[in-house]
Amino acid sequence: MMKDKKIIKDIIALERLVHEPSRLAILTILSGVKEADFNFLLNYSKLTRGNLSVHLSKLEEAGYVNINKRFINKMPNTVYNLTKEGHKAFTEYLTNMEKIIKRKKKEK
Amino acid sequence: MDEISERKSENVEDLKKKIHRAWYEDGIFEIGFGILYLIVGLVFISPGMKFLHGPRLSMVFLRLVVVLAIVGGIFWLIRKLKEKVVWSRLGYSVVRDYNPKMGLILAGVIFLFFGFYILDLRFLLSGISTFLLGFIMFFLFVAHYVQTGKTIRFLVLSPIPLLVAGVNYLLSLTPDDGLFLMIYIVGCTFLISGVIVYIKFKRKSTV
Repeated sequence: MMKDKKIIKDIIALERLVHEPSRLAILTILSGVKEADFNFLLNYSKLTRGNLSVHLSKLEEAGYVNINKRFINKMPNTVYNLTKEGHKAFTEYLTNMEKIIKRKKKEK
Repeated sequence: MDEISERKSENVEDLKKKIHRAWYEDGIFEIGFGILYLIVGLVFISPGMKFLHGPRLSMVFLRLVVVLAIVGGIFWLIRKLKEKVVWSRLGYSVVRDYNPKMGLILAGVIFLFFGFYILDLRFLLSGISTFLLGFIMFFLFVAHYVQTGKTIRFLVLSPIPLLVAGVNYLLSLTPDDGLFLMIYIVGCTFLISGVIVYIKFKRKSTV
């Protein structure tokens, strides 16, 4: 009973903004790079342009992703990178997730 | 919930590895490294470049300039190729170290090697046994395997320096010739592997 309570507590502690699969994919990609542009995220997240754009805006609003607009050979290019808060939220999410998995495995 | 979380956690790890491998799946990094080894072999060890050796301060400075020019040139080449071939196909990204500790060790080995050359302590390199050099090079390949998020081809290529060390031993080459052969073969291995991966990458990905 106590164990169940702990698991529920861990599940509640999961950050909803990060838990959504598309945003989790975006954060995972950005955690592996110093920075990446929209096309790179599009290629590796397999999301549609519209979906990716919406999720990136949500992550930016939460302060998890930083957006920089620049020009390469006179062509506009938008570059994204994880902020410190974003990195912290992503790491905490993974740690909580691991805790849940470990507890469940111990129970088995 | 636990099954879903377990799958999610595995997917996160898989995607993380895929992103780290993405930087290396075009072969450009290996081409750059291969050229670096070949130039290093030519400039540092080949008998024709002995005029660059010597303890004089001006020579130390000249060697420092040569090292900076080589390393800067290789990084410029890698960036230009990435810009022209990869970023137009897959989008722009700059990779983060997969394993920062291994990255530091790798950087340390390369820094030591260049340091030996700049300060003309090459005799220390010539003095080490062929097998030790083979193991250092073997370690470099394994380090690349770890650093690139377990790109299997680096592990497949890793026994090559040990084979070269064995050949060196059987042919009883002088330390200088042994070092020259080792660096050239490792350079060619990187270059050939890089070119094959690069051709495959260009075929499978379109602009």
